Amino acid sequence: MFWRSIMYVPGNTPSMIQSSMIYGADAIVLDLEDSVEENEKDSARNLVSYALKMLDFSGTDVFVRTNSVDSKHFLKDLAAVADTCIYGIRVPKVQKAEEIIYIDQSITKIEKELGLPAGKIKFMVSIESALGVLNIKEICLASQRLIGIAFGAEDFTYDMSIKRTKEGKELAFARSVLALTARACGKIAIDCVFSDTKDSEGLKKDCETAKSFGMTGKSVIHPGQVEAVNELFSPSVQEVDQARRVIEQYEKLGCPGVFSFEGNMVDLPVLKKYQRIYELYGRDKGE
Amino acid sequence: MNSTDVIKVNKVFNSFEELFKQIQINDGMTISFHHHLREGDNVMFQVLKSIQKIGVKGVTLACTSLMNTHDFIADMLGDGTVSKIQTSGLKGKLACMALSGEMPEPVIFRSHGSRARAVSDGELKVDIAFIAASAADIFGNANALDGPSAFGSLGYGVWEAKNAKKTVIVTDYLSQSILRDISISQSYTDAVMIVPSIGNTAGVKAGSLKEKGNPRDSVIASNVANTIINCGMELDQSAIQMGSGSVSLQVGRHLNGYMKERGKKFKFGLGGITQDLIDMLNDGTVDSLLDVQSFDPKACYSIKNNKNHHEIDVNTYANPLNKSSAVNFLDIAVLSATEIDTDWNVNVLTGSDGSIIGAIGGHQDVAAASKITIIAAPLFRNRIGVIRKKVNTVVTPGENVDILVTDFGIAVKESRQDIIKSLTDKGIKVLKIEDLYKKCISFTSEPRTISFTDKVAGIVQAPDGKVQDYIYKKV
Repeated sequence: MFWRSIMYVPGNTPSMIQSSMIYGADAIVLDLEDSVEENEKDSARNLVSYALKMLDFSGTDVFVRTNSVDSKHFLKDLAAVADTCIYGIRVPKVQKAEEIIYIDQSITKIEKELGLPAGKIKFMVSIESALGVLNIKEICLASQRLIGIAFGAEDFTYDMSIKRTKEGKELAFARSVLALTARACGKIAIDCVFSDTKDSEGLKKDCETAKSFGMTGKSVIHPGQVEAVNELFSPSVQEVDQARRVIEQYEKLGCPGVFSFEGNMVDLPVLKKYQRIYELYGRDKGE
Repeated sequence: MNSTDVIKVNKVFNSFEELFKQIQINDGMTISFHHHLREGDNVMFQVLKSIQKIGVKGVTLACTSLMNTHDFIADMLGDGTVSKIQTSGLKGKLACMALSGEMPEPVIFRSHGSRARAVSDGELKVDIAFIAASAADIFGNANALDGPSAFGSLGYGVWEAKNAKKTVIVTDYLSQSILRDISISQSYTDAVMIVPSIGNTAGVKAGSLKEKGNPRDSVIASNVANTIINCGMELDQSAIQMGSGSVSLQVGRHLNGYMKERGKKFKFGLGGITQDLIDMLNDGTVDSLLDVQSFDPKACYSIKNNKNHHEIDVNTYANPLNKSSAVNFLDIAVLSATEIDTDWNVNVLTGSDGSIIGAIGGHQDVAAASKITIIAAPLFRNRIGVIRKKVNTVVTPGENVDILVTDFGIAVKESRQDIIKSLTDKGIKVLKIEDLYKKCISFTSEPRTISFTDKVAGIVQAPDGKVQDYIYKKV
């Protein structure tokens, strides 16, 4: 479970859904919320449900962004996609731990009704308000089923009555707290989208900022952003090479608890970090 | 007439009436045009309207290709001014007329190489070649590099001028000095016709040459570049043709970066020359460009100023009777398709609904000659699958195709185990074309067979002049 890029795909656009798996995104989110007009909610839900049953997503993890828990659509959205190939759902605009408990209970209930294995359906949530940011720790701890926290900058800046800039200084505290808390609670931390799809330099800087806060990946809104986000959230060639050499040294020394590598101490947590990097990126994938 | 008299003959005309008196255009003649100006061409309109005006009938129109801008010819087929068409491609109204059986004679479709052959072996005898040139001098020397309407290589026109019984240069810029860069020599020119404008050079980049593709094009381009890099071919000093359009442009950018990083250089880039190939020439990642058709008017500056950017004629490019055709030295070619079938036959002329929507261009010539031929295409367009059990029209036979690269995966022909091994060894998943077909119909379902009559609407020639396939009138 490691997603550098999580790409939104409008749930009401068949042509985008059917090719959504070819862009190299680690995960995709079929969206039933913001990209779908109120009067198209039913048809989009049907379309997404059908697509999830019919299409081969070629190993790409699929989430469905439901409407928020306080909307009349949430339970219908969940019911329509529960018995499909989804990895999980992504629930927007979460502010309190009570909502997490409600989501967990709703999923548990439908898993039972459909005879699905308990815990099959995971979920992520988006924090998009000041209250949500203040409650992140409680939110993270409210459910074992919750795997990650994403940040929604547009609604957050609206809630804060502040202007969103490309530099993103106004988001620094929220992003930092979100990443810090998610990491502390063992959840993944997914950064907000970068809206200017034509500004590749801006995207790069935004990814670097997010990564420096400790975000593990980023939501993207355009296929053209996937490659850059994957690259920027991947370790460098040098880091992968170092990981390979550390693991080789570890095995050569007979798998000790602690050992020295090029003058630095490597203990279990450090070793795990290198093992993870090598597992994810160390395979030969051609030039 | 002594030599002094010859020099005194005035080749320059300002009126078509006077021109036609001089060169004597008659009923039933075969006249030719080239398509370097593509959708921006205004020469064919001016010439044909003038011919129509003087009442000439039964003309055979031999064009290197026809575009949407040539829809006006439909009226001329109606009134008998034009009776036959020979071309590389058809679009718009003319395509509809051909398919609905409204053409007096079946259209003959030839690749660029096949046309060069037909012109040189006498199968296609051109009485008068009307050649759009952006500049001419009073002696009849011409090029497409000078003047306000400069468009680059005059590769098709050069070969027409050398083989037609008479050659008329049509230009909007008469140089007072003898041209420095001469693509068509005065030796071949019978007349120079001055018109207000030969066309709009912005039209050169119209249609299939659009640079902005969709995100799926980017995926295809990335897959193509990855395939080329890992197919086992040593790219340093290899020769490549990449075609035009969004996918090709992006492939060029990928390869330029790859070659630059590794200090490698293609021997030459061939065919339609895009701005990206010119960038590669300037960046030192390709040694030479052999330019039969410039897909960007910016090529003019490059041809004039870079000694390694060569304007070549279509005979040099792809005439199968020419032992030194440049295509024969190609290592890698990237080509497009409207359809490809599970026997690897490729269609670039008609769509899956049977309509004529494209042109052969150099497709057959390049595929037959290149060491590795890659077809780059989306798995489906809108709701229509690109991979079929059987293409509507076989333009390029499957024996000349090696790899299909789509946005959903890469298939390599079973017989190219060398490529399959190389790609697989590099961790690239290689599929069978049947796998991609199954994937395709999982989205689109099995296409219905289209019904045609037995009336021939078009004859698709192979490069050697034999019939490759027929296009039939639709029901």
